[in-house]
Amino acid sequence: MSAVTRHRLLLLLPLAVFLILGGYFALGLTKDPSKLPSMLIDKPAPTFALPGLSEGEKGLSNADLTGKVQLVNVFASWCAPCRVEHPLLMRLAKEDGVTIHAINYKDKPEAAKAFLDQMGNPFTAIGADKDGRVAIDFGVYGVPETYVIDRQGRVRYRHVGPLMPFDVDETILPMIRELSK
Amino acid sequence: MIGFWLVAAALTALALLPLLRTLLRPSPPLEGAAEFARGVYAAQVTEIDRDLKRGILSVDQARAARAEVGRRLLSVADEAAATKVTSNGKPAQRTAMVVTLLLPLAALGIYLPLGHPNLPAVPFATRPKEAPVPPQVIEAVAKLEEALKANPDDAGGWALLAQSYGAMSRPNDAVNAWRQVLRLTPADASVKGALAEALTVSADGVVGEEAVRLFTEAVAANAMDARARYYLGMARLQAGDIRGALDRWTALVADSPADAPWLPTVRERIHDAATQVGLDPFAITPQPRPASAPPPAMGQAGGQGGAAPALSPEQMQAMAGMSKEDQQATINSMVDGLEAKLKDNPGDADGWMRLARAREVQGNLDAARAALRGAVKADPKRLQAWLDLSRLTAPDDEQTQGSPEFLAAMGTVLNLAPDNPQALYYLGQQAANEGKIDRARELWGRLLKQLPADAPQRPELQRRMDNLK
Repeated sequence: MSAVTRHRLLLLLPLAVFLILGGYFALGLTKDPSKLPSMLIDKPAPTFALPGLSEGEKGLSNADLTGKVQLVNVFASWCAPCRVEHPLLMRLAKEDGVTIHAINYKDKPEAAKAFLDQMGNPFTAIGADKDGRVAIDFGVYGVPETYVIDRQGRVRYRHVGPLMPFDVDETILPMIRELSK
Repeated sequence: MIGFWLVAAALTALALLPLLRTLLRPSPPLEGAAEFARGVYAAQVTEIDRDLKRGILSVDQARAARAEVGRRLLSVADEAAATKVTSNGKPAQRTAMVVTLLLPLAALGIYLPLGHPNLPAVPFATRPKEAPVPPQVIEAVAKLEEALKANPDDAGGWALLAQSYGAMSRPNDAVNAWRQVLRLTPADASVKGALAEALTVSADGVVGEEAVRLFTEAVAANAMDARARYYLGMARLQAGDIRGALDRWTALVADSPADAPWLPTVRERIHDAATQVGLDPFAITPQPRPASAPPPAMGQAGGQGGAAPALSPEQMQAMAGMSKEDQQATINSMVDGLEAKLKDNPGDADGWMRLARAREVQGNLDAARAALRGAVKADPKRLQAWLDLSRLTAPDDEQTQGSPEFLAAMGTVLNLAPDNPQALYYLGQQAANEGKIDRARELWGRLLKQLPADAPQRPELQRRMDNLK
């Protein structure tokens, strides 16, 4: 290979880099970023026991997650998308009779309480996960996240990001109905 | 729009520039390079000779080295000849021309099917422009805060402070101030509404439970609290109950005067929500109540009310003394008599019209429609008969496509009265449903032309025309 041809091939390098990157991105575009895989799907929820928002208040442990099809919602008062999905959680709890447990993620208890006073409290029980350890066990990427838990306490579905009306009507509610049969 | 195309053209030109510069530059003097190489190789040959004389190279080695140099010399000469052929003086002008033409064309060819030059920008957050708060206002607010510390039971002061906070985009402070106002005037429904709105603003527009409760109380106290009713619809929307939201908003439109300032916003919301669930916003949005200024007479095809068949003064007098039931019986027998008479004399269009009104007043719409059919048969040119027939066969709000009879009646109305807004609207809708875009556009265009500039139906109609495809 002479020096000249090697030089020419070097000129093609940017194009090659572009094609490789472009192919990579094109592949990424075909995937739904909200569908993150979860190690926990169809596995029992991790073992945990969280205290309540204040002294003497009931907290949340993995024992609470069995016996009934339910949702576990990871939320924080500082999280704006949590506020957006909150009316939907209220509706699920009050109008559709869905049990929702909550993990309050890295939040100040008093801020969480003020949030729930103002926006309503759809949660049957709340565990305060101040250092975010339990969230790590669940594999939480960021708040809000919502998990569908079956009667045996297994994680059946995971939703990352705020719930939207069509998520609830087309995925969450049908799944809860199916699992409750 | 023009700005965008100008920028795109400028960028394309910019991208072309280096290409053209390279292509149009006279090719480098390769001739000279070849000469230089020849000189180098000649020097190498003399060096080989010198080395041979010194005995550094053997005869065989010197021969091999000379052969190698000669080979290189030849290849340099070949290369020079080859480049001479391709770049004879004026370099690549044709390529330059082709590139100049093809590159913008190709860019356009890719952009037009893929690009959306009309797509509105989608900023991450559309923030309202925060006007800087003038220092006098800050000072006044500070004074007010001081005064309220000394006299915390001044409801008017708190309300003023709350409004100032709201205007200064301090929603959390506004919430607290409105709470103070409500503490002092717990029965004031409008304060509940104001607090609920402040709560909603502080929650980035999400209507939370407390706000819903307060808005509900506000509506209970004043059914025409448009703000509260608007936000309660919003709460349903946010809870994923789009139909519930639509029910609340359409009811609000129906209860609002046509010149209410909130109507455009509510209509906008109805449009967005209805489109989400595949409903026709135009069909589900009711007419508001008459405004203080007379609204455009759209969708009002009806006749001048419906009196029973005209009574002679004597008949009136006779009836005045009767009981309600007797009056009703008399009217019924008169109407039945009229109907019997028309059976014998079906060409009496006036008679059919009277019968239709009477039947409508009686609430017997089927009979009224039958009478109107008689009327249009007797006198096919009678506009009022066609108008009444179309009114009584008009589709319910929910459904857009009318029955064939209704559409036929509308067609006749349009022939008799080319400017009838209802006919223009429904026939345009029919044409749109049947895919006759041009016809729909023509009819709606005519309708749009005669709607006043501030008619509430205008934006929606315009949107529909834009959506015709």
